[in-house]
Amino acid sequence: MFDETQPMKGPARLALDRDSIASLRELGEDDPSFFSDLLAVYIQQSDLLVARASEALAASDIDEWSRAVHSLGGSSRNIGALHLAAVCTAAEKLAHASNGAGSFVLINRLKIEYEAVKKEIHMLRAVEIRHPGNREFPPLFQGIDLKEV
Amino acid sequence: MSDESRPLILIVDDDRVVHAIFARALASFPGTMIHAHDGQEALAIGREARPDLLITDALLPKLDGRMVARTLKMEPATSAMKVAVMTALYKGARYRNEALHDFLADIYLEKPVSPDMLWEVIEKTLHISRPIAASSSTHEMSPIEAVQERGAM
Repeated sequence: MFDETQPMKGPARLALDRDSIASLRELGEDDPSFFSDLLAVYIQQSDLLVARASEALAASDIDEWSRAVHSLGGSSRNIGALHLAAVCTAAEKLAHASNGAGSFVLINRLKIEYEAVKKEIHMLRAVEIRHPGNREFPPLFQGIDLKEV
Repeated sequence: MSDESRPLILIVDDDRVVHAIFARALASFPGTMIHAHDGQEALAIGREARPDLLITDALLPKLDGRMVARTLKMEPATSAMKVAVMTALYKGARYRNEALHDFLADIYLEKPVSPDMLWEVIEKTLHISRPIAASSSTHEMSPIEAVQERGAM
């Protein structure tokens, strides 16, 4: 069973779901800048949401924490950051169930996952800028076992 | 009153990623889209621009999207507006029934909302079919432009 509080073990995994990325690229078929711009919007927005979540937790504002992780989760799901979205969902549920107890563990997990998502986005955008419309994942991503453990 | 030759959709969500995806997905929509990012903004734009279709997230800053839906549906000037409420949080039959019966939504959508789902909403509510050719015919207006245009009709 997936435990959002523990580091992933086993084969390396991508932070971004391939099918979701492919769908977004297909959506932007007629607009070469769509994919790259969308990911830039996501990062800009998510940087603020992660900061808001951290500040809320530090201030013991569980409602604000819950709102921030809810927004981050929804946005992450839209761009295929499914693992991060799952952490956000877990954080939101925990916040409501326990009035914030245990949320400090999940904020760290959330930050680690978000950094992994950002790293992949930067790599994807770098490839996109050099090769607009390229549908292939860069060689860096090939050969990585995508299965969850 | 709506202008059938140029239907107007108001999209409301505090997630800019949603707006970007929806704008792209509806690039071939033969009408106009305007975007709002919180419930109060949506209510103000809804009253002024009187869109034909409101697609709103349920959980919004400042004012719940479902309350926006209900308020506009209950006001005579906007009662004919079609409303689709989308949600990632309020999922399940109980919330679906609540959205449709208590908040007067016409359609209830569980997120994530795909381009196909969006077009299905448009077909059901505005009776506009998805164009076969993917030509961009949608004009995206700022809220001010939309109000000015509607006022001139």
